[in-house]
Amino acid sequence: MKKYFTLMKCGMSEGIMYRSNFLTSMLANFIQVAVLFFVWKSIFAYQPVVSGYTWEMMRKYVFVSFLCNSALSFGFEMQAADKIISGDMVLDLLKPVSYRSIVFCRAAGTALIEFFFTLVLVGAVYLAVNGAAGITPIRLLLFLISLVLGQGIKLQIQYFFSLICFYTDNAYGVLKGREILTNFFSGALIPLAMFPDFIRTVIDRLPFSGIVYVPCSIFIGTFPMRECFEALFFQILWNVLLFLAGSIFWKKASSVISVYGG
Amino acid sequence: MIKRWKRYFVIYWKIQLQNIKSLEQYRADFFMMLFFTTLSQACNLSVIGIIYSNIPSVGGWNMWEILILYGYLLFSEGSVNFFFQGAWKITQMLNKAEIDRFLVRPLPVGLQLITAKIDFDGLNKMFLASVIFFLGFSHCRINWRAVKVLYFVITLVIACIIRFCMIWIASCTSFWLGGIKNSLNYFTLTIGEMAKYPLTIYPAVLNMVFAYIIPYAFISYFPASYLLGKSGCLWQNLMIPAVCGIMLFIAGQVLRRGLRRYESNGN
Repeated sequence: MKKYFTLMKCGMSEGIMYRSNFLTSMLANFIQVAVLFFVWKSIFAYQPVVSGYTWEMMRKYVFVSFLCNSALSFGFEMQAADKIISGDMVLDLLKPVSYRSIVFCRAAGTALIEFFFTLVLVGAVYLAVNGAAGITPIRLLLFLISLVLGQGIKLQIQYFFSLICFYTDNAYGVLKGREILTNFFSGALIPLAMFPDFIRTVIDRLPFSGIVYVPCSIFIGTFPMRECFEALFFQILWNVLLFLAGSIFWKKASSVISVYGG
Repeated sequence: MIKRWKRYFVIYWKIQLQNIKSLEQYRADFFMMLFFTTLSQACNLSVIGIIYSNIPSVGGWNMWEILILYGYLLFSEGSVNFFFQGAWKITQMLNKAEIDRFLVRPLPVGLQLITAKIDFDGLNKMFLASVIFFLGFSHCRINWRAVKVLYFVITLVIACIIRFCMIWIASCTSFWLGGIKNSLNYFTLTIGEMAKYPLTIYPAVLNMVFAYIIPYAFISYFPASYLLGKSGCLWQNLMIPAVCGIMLFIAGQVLRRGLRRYESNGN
């Protein structure tokens, strides 16, 4: 257990060291949120309700979704992918811990730092815009659990995509694709409730909604209690399934390692 | 003078041609990027589509009009990727002192930097943007006259140039900032998000920033609103060439001053 904590500490100090990267990527995400905020604002100026969402709910959704989506930023996978492409990952393979746990623990450490930064920023903005009304302890607790599970899902997906870099050199393209895919299907840009039905049925069978939409809905209260627990169950299920899929893919992908010197 | 520029132009294409040949080497990458770019653009367009499936208009603009804004943005982004992708590579070249070999060649450093890299993804982006333009224009009632066609072509070219200057200037800050990474250019790129929607929905402060400090409004909003016959941005339209000129001037100055400051860190 101790070695995992050490790895996490490494991740934390990495997070602090590369803070300028993270801050710009966070700022970039924040711009996206700000744009959506104003788009929604202008929309709600014309009509009070859009697919069951009022402006009060939307204002919360925009910020909470940002919080859910900002940790585990682009930087960490880029680093993992760069290591794979440059061959530096061999050094990780030599360590007496599995490759995945190295990647995961590091990422978790970095994510903690990132999450803390974001929480301070978003928390302040959220309270300034919405006030503290409507936050109940039980929902807050469920939200936090769901958030952690969601981050788990995101991490596994990122791991999966970083392994694709065994087959291509174009890490930026692959990972950018991943980012756009998760942003879209997780509800980070638009609440999934607004999607047309045929896309909804597809999304409900995918893991992405667990990253943003589920924790957000739990927090702002669009899910009734029963649905909250169901959603949590599915999040756990996806974590397990993606973990297994990751192991299988790793076995396959790691067989193509060819490192030139080093 | 003209003869010299003509020579530069010929050399530019020669280098680009060499770059294009490198496609042969990265064929798998090319198809992968083709897939991912198309996918991500489909996602971006779906966001717009889904918003509009719930409501009729944003800030007085309907979906097809928004697509024209989007077309301007995507096309200019693609053109930077394809024609001037070297602008993205400046930081890395400075950090690894790769720029040294450019300094000793009898060609302008700027020209060599622009052509340092090519990204075929840009072609796909420009193609998709053309499709988006076609969709948008065929659903908007635009009174096409020769002047408007000319106006469209000119503003599109200017959009590409302004976009390139933005990335160029942001990248050139590495002359002063140093470091392996420069996130300013990514930052500049993401700010473009706001240009996907009409400027009127933002508060006045942000309006000022987008129109005059980081001139994204001159890339998409002002030209598109003229084409669509929206009122209220006549004089901004007249300023488009001026903004382009200013950006080019700054881009040139940044490079000149940067190079004067540059000290190689060895190779």
